[in-house]
Amino acid sequence: MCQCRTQIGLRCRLTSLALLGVLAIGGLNPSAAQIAVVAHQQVPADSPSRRELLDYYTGDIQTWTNGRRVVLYDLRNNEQMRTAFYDYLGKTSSRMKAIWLRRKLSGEGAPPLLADDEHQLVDTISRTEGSIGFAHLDLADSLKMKVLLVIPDPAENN
Amino acid sequence: MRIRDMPLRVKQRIAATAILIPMAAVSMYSLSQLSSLKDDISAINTVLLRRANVIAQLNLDAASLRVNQLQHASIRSSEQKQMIADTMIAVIDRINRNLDVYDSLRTNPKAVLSNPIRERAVYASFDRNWERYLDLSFQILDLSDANRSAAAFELLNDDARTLFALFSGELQELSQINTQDAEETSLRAEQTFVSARNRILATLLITVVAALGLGIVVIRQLTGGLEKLLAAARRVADGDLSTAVEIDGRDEIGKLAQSFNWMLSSLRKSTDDTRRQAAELRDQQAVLRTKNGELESALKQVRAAQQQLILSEKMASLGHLTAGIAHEIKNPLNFVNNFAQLSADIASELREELEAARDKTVAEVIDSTDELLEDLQSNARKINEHGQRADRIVRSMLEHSRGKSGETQPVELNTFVEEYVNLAFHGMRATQQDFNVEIRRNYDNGAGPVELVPQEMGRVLINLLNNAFYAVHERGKREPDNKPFVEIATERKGDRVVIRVSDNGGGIPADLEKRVFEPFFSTKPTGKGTGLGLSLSFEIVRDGHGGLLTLDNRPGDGATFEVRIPAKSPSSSESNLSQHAASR
Repeated sequence: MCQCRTQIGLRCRLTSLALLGVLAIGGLNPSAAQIAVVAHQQVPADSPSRRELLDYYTGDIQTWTNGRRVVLYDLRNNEQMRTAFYDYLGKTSSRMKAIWLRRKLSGEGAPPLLADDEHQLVDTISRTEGSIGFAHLDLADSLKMKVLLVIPDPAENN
Repeated sequence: MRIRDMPLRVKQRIAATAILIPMAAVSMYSLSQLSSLKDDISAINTVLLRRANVIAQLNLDAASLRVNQLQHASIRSSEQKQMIADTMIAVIDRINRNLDVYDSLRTNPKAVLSNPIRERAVYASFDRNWERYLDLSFQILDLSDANRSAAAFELLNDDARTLFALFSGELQELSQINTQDAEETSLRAEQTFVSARNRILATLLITVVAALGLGIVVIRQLTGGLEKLLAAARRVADGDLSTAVEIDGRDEIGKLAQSFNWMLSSLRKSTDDTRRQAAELRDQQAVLRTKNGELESALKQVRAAQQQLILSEKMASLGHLTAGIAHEIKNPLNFVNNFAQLSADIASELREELEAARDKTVAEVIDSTDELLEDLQSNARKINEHGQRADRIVRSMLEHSRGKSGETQPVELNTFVEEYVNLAFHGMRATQQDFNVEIRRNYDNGAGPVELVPQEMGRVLINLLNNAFYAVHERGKREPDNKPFVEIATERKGDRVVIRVSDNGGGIPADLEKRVFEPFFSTKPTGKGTGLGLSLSFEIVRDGHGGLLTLDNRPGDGATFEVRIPAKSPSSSESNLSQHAASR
């Protein structure tokens, strides 16, 4: 994970571009079958582990390393993608919601913000500092946001 | 190969295998059944009951969450709200934990679901409804936090209630599925137990029956043969050797029976041999008895011959003695005859003198006859003297011949020895006219009286002296320059006396020295000696007088025989001695 604390590092950008390039060359239609974990360009994170990603989404980690608050985004109307993403994190959607409800009851945090669709989500993320979300890879504009991770979409593969 | 021909150890192994294999199979089967039973029980305890329990707990917690949500919506106090929120947090935590547990138990291989498709469908439906309920819970919480109780209640009693009913029903269904699985597993375990128990009992029964059957067969085969052998052994012990054991089969018992029969055959042969040998032995005993009789007869003859020989020896010594005695008597008799003749002549001369002296006076007659009378008197004395000497010799001979054998008498040793020296010498001279020897006498004046058996000891001395005279005479023949001598010595040594006869004859060859006292052994030519002289002398000295007769041999240069006897016989008494002295 790149330790980009105050500004977007050149190395982080290059890593993201290289990742996208590899995926574009290696896959037949990668954007259609793969889910990208995207974040605002200034998010000081690079290739977070599965555990780290889960900690962000359960609220166990609520700030980035640069001190900015982690802003979580979820999709409202895409069950398949949500299920695939949370499966990757090792949880079900319902379990995540139970966790978020617990956070809400304890006042320790709020559930992710809901985007109506992926376009809205990537657009919001590109504009919201500290935000993180997930969408199909082909919607992730590397010039506008940071692609932290690419995970296969089993639903698309099926 | 027939079974009865098999060795016992093979039979034993077959029987053991026949018993052990079913037992091992039963044990293995029992173990597998027990393992299956254990798996079922473990599945019931660790999976199925837990699943049902977790579902029940989830249902309770879901109900609790709903109740708390209603309370949270109904109150306005923020503190109370927070308390209820804390309770709800705990409930949600518990629900999450139980869901995690259920997720892990669903896929546990120990207890595969009996109807997994249905369970998956029910659980998926529950998960969707539960998620939708959670979505509503966010809205209800927002309304409740905003104290919009009516709206919150509306949601709770409308959509949330419906969803709650749905997922609660689904939880109950899941509970039923798991309970049913637990019951089925329990039933299966029980069936497994009953089935295993029945099969184990049946197999055990079969094994026991088979083992008993095999055991009986093996024992019958074993004991049947042994009993036959035992009966045969008893018959043999009773003396019936014609018996035989008939056992079919070539196992150890069969071989034992065969060996027993061989042994009996050998025993019969051996008994026949023994009987034949006993008969032969009896014949040989009869022959031996005959031979024994013959041997006894021969022994008697030998003893008679021996006695004859001893008598011959005695006669031989008596011959020597007689010759000596004759010579001893002849001398005084010559004197007596000569002096008697002389006295007769003197008497004639005296008569002439007396006739011529008729006219003479008595004095003149006495003068003229006195000398003749003195001569006559002297002659008469000499006749008397020699007559007494002859009388003494004769009396001595009489005493010698009349004395009881084995009866000791006190004798003056030197006189006794001298007497026999003279007898022996003259005896030798009587047989060997050219015999000449120097006799050296070395008598101990203090030798004194000795108690001995004169006859016996005289025979010893005659023997020793004759041998000495013979030895010097023989050497004289070979070596004329050698001056023969025989030395006779007596000596008193404390309570014993010694008579020593030495000669300078040829001695005894060294290799024969040890045999001189053996009966019938002689170095003299055949016919010259019986070979019993020294043997008898040895017995007389040792047994008759309690003394010793020893030889100091000088091969080629003579020999010395020494008689050493007690001066006083242990068996004699003072009264005997005094009586003997008085009679003399």
